[in-house]
Amino acid sequence: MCTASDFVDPLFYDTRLTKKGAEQAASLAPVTRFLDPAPEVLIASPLHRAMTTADLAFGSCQGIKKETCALMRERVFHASDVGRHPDAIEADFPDWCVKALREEHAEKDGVWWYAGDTDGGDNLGAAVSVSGVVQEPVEEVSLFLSVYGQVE
Amino acid sequence: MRGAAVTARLASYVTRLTRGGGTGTGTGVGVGTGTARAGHITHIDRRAFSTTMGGAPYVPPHRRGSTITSASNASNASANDKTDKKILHLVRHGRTEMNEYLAANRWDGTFIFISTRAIRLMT
Repeated sequence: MCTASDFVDPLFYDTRLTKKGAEQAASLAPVTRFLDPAPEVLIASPLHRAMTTADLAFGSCQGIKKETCALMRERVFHASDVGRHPDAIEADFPDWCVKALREEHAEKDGVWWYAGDTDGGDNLGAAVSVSGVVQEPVEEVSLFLSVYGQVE
Repeated sequence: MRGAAVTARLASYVTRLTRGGGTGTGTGVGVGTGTARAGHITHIDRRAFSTTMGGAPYVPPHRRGSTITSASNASNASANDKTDKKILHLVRHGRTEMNEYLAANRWDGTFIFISTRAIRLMT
């Protein structure tokens, strides 16, 4: 078992699904196609693994609205939790909407993940990233969903 | 029969999210919502959201003023409470390269790698 001192971060920036991970996600597709009511919107963290999982798991839900939501990102423990600029996300996932992501983080040049701000925060529940306190982001996710839950 | 099997299978991937009790946000989730008739996995009652924003677009905290809540919005939210519900399905992401690395190189959970410089370079 590695300790704090000998653990080596492999620097898998925005880590990808493995073949097994893709199979896990795709195995949900036969299930999600029968959801009743049918899904109205997909919301995923802007991390590659989350959007890929959502695409594979809900692949049979054609024409569904897809939104990224930085509130659902993970804590930044390793390079694998570091995200990418909205432009890069849009290039890889053209059917996912990154408009809100881009606009909400324009002041930080599109950096929506925890990036070691000097005040210890990133204005989106920094405590999530540094202390594990999750209550605040859960509240924010609720607000976010309350808006997108109004999709008709 | 099929329905039960499907539910059991999906439930293994899905985390129940409730506002009042324990909360499972999962990590890197894909979420589908829909208008509910008879939800089978996870119910999210609209009241759980306590919509202080009413029908307004989502505004992140750092851009929020002090006038988000209004009596009319609260009233509208209350009306909606009685008419519809949404189902929220939470799905955790599949196994990643990092998951496999961590499995092979067990990490004690106290180490935090935040290389600000490296992170900035990613932009």
